[in-house]
Amino acid sequence: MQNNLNQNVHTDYAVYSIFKPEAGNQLARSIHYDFVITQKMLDAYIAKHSNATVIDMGDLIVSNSDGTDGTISGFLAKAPVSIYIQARTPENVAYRFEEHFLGGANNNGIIDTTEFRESDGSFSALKTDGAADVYSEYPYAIDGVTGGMNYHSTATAYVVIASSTAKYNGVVRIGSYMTTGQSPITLGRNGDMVVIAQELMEGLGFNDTISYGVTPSYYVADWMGGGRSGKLGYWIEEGASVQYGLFARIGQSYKLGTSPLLYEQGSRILNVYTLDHINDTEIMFTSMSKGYRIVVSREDIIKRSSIGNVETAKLIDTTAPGFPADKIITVSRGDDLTELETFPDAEHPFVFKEESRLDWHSWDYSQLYGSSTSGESNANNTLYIAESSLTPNKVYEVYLHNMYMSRQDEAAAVDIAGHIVSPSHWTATFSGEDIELGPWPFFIQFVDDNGIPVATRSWSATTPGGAFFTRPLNLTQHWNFRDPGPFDGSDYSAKSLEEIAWARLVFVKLGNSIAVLRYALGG
Amino acid sequence: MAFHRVVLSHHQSLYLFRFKDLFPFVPVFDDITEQDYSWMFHLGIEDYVISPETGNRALNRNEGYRHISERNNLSDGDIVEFFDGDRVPVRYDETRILDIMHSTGSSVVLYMCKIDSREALVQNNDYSVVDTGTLMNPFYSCGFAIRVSAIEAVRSFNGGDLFCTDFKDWGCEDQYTGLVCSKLGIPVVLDTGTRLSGAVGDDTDYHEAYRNSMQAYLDKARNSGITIRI
Repeated sequence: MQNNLNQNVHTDYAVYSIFKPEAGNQLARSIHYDFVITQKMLDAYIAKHSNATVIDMGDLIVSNSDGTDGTISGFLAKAPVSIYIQARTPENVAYRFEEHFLGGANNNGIIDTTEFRESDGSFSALKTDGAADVYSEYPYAIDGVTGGMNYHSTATAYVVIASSTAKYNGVVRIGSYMTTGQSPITLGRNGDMVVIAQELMEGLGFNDTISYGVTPSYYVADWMGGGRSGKLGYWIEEGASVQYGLFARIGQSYKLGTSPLLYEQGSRILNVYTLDHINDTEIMFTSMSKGYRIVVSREDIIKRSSIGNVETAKLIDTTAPGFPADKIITVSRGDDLTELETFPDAEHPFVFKEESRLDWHSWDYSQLYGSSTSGESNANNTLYIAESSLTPNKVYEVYLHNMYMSRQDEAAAVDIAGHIVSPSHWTATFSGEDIELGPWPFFIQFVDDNGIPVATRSWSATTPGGAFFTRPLNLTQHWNFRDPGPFDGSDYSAKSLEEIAWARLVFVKLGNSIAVLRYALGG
Repeated sequence: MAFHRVVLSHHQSLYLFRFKDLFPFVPVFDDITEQDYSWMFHLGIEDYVISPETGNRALNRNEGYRHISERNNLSDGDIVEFFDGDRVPVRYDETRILDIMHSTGSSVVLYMCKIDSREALVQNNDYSVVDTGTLMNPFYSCGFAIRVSAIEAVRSFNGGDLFCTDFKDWGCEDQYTGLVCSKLGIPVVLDTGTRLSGAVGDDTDYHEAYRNSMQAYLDKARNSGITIRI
């Protein structure tokens, strides 16, 4: 396969058998490498090309044993291929894996990449994935991030990325790496290049200049740090026809063990979808709170549909400040939609039927945004639940959706995603940016048949997140709401009514107690 | 007395080299991939377990223990540690674990993450025995040490399983083990001095099926005759 006598060629295993589970006992084998770059071979090449700072991997492989240039004449191997760099590369020398290796537009390199190209010969994130695996015993530098390449690397054999020039579209995987530029690496026009890097050891990350459709949130360098670990967010615009390899991006994120999230942003919406399932043909996200699912097909077509779920009820109050709609309250149970004349109150509490989950969407801020900065349970911010309608030992969930009318002059906060930064505020991160969300959500009050409270649950200002201790019955807790200043309709942009956060209460009726199993805030 | 370790990896093999820097371990691969094989080769890992059922965390841990027990002549005093694949110890001292077990007479030590909602239970990087017989008990399985004697006691109660494999969805199989420990009188310590990477405690938000797990948790406890303290 190779014509350089300085190479150590392993030819004992077929190229397609490596790393396949069905190949059996592969750990006892050596990896099949199509090409091995030895020290002797590299030294000879550099001796004959003393001024070279970039070595084209294709040229190096076909070079003669004395280091002089060889001739590229046809394919030496068919992708996918594996390379092992068993040589220390001088610090001022980088490898390039493009024209003479993967081949240019005419597929004229040493590797046959036909099966990794679209029908028109171009590279794309859907097709160009895993064309070549590069392993190395020592750190090495690459000139340009090239689509289709997997740069296997570790903390001791890391990759140095010095160039900001990205080459070819496709999926690129990089293990431990270092960037040496003074500004983030810009992927530029390569709109469907997906870069998945695992550990940034030093330097800056990547910029992506995609201007329409999908904007990926990149991995974070320190996944071990507990900050934004394991999550990648993807934004889509309402009704967008998304291109640029969204399917491939999400798929690659998932393969790395992340939990991709999908954000849908429209003029009055911001829906957060969590991954439902992923397979070779579709990726499904669901927002149980909104009752929608979104399917991303392999062709990057996005479809949204409703979820029919008879176990879920929704309580919707459509009154919002600044909007002309009359107050309409509906209870939706699966396909059954009922309008209520009055909001559930102590005398007319919400009654659970078969469902185990209730979503409450409300944005009546007439009380919350009053002159008082101190919030307490009242008819406008409290969900009343009939305690007698709860089935003992059955676990229930209630989601309180915080519909927020953001102000035009709202300033972005700076803190870690989803973590409360002050007792009366909470934040969430969207695409890496932390945004101040506004007041806390609401109260839940369980009442008996006479409308007398038996338990009130609310969100503590001092113990955000998971709770370990069940609150005693009859606990009523107050907290301070954020003071938005005097209400002025002109302060609000007409399009900014958004669901930006929710609170979730999981509870069960055990004996005479209502035990809180979990409460949490999210955005 | 010897330490044995099990690391669960669900597409998380990129972290295994960090574990390897710390101690020997047996990885249990959930939904194993070519990438996992690649990492194993590069790390020289030859002793491993492939999960027989994707996504069943309880079964994965049980399989890890079975693998270790088949290859070692375990004694009651031996300690088995279990780690999630993305929860690498960042502050860890084997001697500390032994000292805690000796000084408290406990057989189980729970480790904390860098960000951990159990923080308030113990102060000042110290440790203390915690009540695992409560509804929302702090027995989280992202990282912990347990003596073989305690494992066998729990298995005896659980029909042969350390973790109950009835829990198919995310969550609660570990807290149920906490309930069992409490019922059997096995003291459990929460150690804030041993730390793992990442966060724990607030991640139920991302698991829609958590309600199902809570329901299974309550049903299992009731069917097993365990009284839960609220």
